[in-house]
Amino acid sequence: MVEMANISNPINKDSKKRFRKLPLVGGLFILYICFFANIPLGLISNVIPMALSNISLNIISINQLDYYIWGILESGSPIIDYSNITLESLIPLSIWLMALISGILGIVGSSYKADPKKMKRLILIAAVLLITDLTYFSSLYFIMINSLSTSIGIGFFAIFICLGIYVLAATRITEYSEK
Amino acid sequence: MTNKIGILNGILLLILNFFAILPLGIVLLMGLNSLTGIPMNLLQNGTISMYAWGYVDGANAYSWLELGTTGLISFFGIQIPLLVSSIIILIASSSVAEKAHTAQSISLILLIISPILSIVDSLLGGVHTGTGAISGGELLGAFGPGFYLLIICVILQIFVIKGQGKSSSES
Repeated sequence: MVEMANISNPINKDSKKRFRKLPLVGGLFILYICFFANIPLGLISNVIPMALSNISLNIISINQLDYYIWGILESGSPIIDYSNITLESLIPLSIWLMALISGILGIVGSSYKADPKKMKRLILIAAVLLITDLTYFSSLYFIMINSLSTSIGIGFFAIFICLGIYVLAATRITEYSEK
Repeated sequence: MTNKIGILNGILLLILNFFAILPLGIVLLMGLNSLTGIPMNLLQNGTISMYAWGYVDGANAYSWLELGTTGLISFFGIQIPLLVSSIIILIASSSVAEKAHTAQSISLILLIISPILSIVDSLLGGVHTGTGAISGGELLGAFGPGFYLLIICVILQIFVIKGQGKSSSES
């Protein structure tokens, strides 16, 4: 007979709960960071929506270069071109792919009706991918910190928060025991 | 898990069918704009990029339906199989019916038709792909990001079919 160890692991397949909120929110936020340059504020719309201000989602800034998870901008124009896959574009592309897969795994791992062990594993894999991304950007920052003007952007903290959400979500999924 | 991969696969194929680039760095500046993106071209030969929906020659873009009989063949040989395949995958992934497995298999066959026809046509002169002739040695360099995405979709579809076959045999 299977016993429920924690309220996070309902065995009742007819439960009305569909998604675990934490990994779903984390996954959606990471996907937003993967595709958008900023969080628009002060939205106005006569016919076409416009933002009066925004929160930029750049991870770090080194000299005039803004590093985002989807590319690098120099004074507003992109300096990495994905039309030809070269060694130079491969690294930012793989960083972006890792964040994208992390977001998708977070959303997939939020399902209530699937095996909790598998869902926990997916969320932990998503967290590891985010740690890899953060390690890459942190290394860039610390290598450049003495030679050029460097600063950490809001995007770095946003990814850090998502990592915390994933870790918290994974710890809340406890394995249920069978008798 | 299988249904989720199927739905993801269907969405990726729809993006491939209708988009020229996968937008990245989206900003709200006089409407929705993107600062950069990953192009969704299947083949590239010089300045000509071939997409699932048509081709771009420098500054001019042409959809298959604008190109007369040649374009119609491309439309039914390249775009329609991809479009039908994406719709079948999305519907079959949301369904628990027994026929869903057969539908997924049919969509895999349709999915393979487009890249094979594109490659064969470009090797034989590139009339229907619009890219012109591409030699065998240059073919690997001519594949665009969209082609690699298509290969990923084919691999995902194989996993979807295997997973759906397992779950139907268990039930």
